[in-house]
Amino acid sequence: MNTAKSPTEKKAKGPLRIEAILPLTLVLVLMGAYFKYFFDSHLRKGLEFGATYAHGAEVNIGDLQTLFLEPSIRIRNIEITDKSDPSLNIVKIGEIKLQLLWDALLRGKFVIPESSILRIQAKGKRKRPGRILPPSKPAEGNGIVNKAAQETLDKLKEKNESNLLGDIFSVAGGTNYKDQLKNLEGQIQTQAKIKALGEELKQKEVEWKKRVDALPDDSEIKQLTKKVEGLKLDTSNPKAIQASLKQIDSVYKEARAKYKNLEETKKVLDQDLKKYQNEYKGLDRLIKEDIDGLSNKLNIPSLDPQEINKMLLGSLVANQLGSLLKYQNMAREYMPEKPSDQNKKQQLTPRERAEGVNYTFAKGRSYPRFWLKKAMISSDSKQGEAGDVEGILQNVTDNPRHLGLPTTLDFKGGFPHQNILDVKGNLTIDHTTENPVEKGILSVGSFPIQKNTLSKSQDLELGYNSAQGSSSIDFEIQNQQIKVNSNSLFSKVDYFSSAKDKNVDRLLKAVVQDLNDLTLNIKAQGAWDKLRLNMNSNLGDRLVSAIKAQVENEIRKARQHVEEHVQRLVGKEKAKLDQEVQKIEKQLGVSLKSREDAVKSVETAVDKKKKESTQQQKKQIDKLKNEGQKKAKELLKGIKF
Amino acid sequence: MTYILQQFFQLVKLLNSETGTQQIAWGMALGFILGMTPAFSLQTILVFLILLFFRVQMGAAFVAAFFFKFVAFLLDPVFHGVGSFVLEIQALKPLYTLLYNMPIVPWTRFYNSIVMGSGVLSILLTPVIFAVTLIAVQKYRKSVYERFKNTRFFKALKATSFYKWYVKYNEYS
Repeated sequence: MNTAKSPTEKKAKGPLRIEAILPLTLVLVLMGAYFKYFFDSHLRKGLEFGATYAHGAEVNIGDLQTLFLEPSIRIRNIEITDKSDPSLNIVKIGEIKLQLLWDALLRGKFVIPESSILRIQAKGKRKRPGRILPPSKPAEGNGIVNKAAQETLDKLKEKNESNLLGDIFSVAGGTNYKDQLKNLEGQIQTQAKIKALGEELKQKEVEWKKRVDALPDDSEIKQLTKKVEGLKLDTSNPKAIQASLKQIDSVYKEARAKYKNLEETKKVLDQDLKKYQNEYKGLDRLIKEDIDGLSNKLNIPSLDPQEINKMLLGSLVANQLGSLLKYQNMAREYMPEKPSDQNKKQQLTPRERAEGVNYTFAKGRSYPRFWLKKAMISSDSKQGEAGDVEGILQNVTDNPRHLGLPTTLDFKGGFPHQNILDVKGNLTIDHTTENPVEKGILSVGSFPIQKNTLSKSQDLELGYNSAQGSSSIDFEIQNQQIKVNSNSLFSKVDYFSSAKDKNVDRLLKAVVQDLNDLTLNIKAQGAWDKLRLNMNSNLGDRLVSAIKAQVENEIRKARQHVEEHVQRLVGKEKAKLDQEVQKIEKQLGVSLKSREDAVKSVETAVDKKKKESTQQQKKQIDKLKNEGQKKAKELLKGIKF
Repeated sequence: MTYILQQFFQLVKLLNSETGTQQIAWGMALGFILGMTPAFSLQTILVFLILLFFRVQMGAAFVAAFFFKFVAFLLDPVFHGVGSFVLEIQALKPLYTLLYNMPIVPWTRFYNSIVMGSGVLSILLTPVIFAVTLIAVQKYRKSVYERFKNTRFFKALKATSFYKWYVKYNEYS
């Protein structure tokens, strides 16, 4: 018997798909297994990748654990590589405990009411050197500012890489610059400028002459004067006087029209001449720039202690300022003063599935998307290599403006195992208004300093093997204006120096012998691209005073040589240009003056005639008045009241 | 994969049978919503659960989701415009504020202009898609399939091993 049912005999199925329970259960079990066994490790790797990218050097996370029912994250052994020495960690954090709020999670937000950062270790040895990422390109939004800032810092580093000390001592040996100067003649910009100005002036001269020639001639204007003088006033009656005045006025108007043209031409000429006078004055600045440029190209150094300090310690300062810039950018990226979606409003892209715009309907006291309310920092040196640190980090958020509270970090302590003592820090990142402000004070009472080469060339080398340092820095960045004050003292400095030349070698050794304490005081102020940097160090001062006597004369001679060369090349042409301008001014000025005088003489004649006619008119009126009064008296004589 | 393949064959079978018109139409309508929604969110999960627990033609839903995903690429600026308009209605602001600050609801990402725009348009157009599919399937069965099944090509196709494999697969699944 055939027991198989035909399709039509199949039992009709209801609208619910009961058989879907099995695949759904399977999917849920697989998801559960993923979260139980793989999620933590994937999250750890993701965090490592993100943190490495943000910091610019390898960041490792030893272990990460998430708990679902009591939502929390526990991260252990976070190692952050020191970019200046990849074999060390800049800091190692033993453990971070983050407890999340269910209430916020259900609203798609991450709020951490209280957390703890434990067992902090500074400058600890890494198991293997950390990877350093190549320097990142500036962020697009702030691209121009970052580029300008980077250029400022690069210039400072360039100064550090330049061989200033080598140059100083090579000039001291006496160098003949004649041939080199001859080769660099083509690069003198003043010469090219004078040539261009001369050519322009010739063209202008033709133009001006044309304009002056187009003006009414002297004789033409003088004829008008004669016309006015020749006018005979008809003073027989007021009507005739009025007609005469009209005649005078028409001549005056004619003269005025001619004068207007004259005035305009004079104005243009004055403007042009003024421009050339200014250009001429600017030539002196250009000559100075040429002299400085040639001196640089010929490696003629300056004996300015500031320059020497920048050369010796510029890289150190550039690194400090570079870190400040990097962390400022990071703070502004992750804690924007404006919600990021507002910035994206105009960037809707049709190709990939667009992101759209996120509107916020937050209530006054609602949670921001991310908010770390409070993190207690606590570390005890009894726990292995960790330091004694205590502090508090508050209000880290992705939307400071909504929260209305600035992020603050206060900490103090030390790392006795690493000889870093008396560390104090107070940082405030206030992005709650449209004027973002980052400010802070950091100080380290004592810390070890590693080997550093201050100047290195074929001829000489100067640096230190080790030192003990203490440093304090306070900074304030408001928008793109920064203000930094840093005072550092390097004590017990173990210098090394060597030079090919015995005299130089002796001099360098003598300079550093008594210099046990090296000071470095930095003041930087202004916008990143126009940073006014003031660097004072006793090393630069000492070096200058020691070598001044030996090389100052030679340097002065070398600079004088360059100056004379430039003046010889451009001096004559400059004077010629000046003469040319004066000649044109005189010629055209005289020509215009005579026309101006002629027009003025017409005006004087007109005024005279007008005065004359007014007097005549007054006389006529007085006469008529007297006659009227007489007649009236005669009439009244016969009438008696 | 087998499940998706099975659903696809089921769709072909249903299209060529005389039943399941509404299942296909519902599948297309839900697939339309899936395709239009830009990102994985709470409403996507909801649509998946409906697909899973109700006897809706999944093959139709997947085909529709795949197709409408491409259409949605081109419509993003429209979604953004509609979504912005809806989200900027002042009268609805208190409602949005309430929803925004409620638990769970923010996971729908309703506050995003494209999610809101695509959501509004797909809800409005779902009945249209349902009705159009219903009519189209009926028309297909009456005119296209009836004519096609008597052609030599179809008879030749039926004789191929691929068709036999398809029939067997269908019997055992």
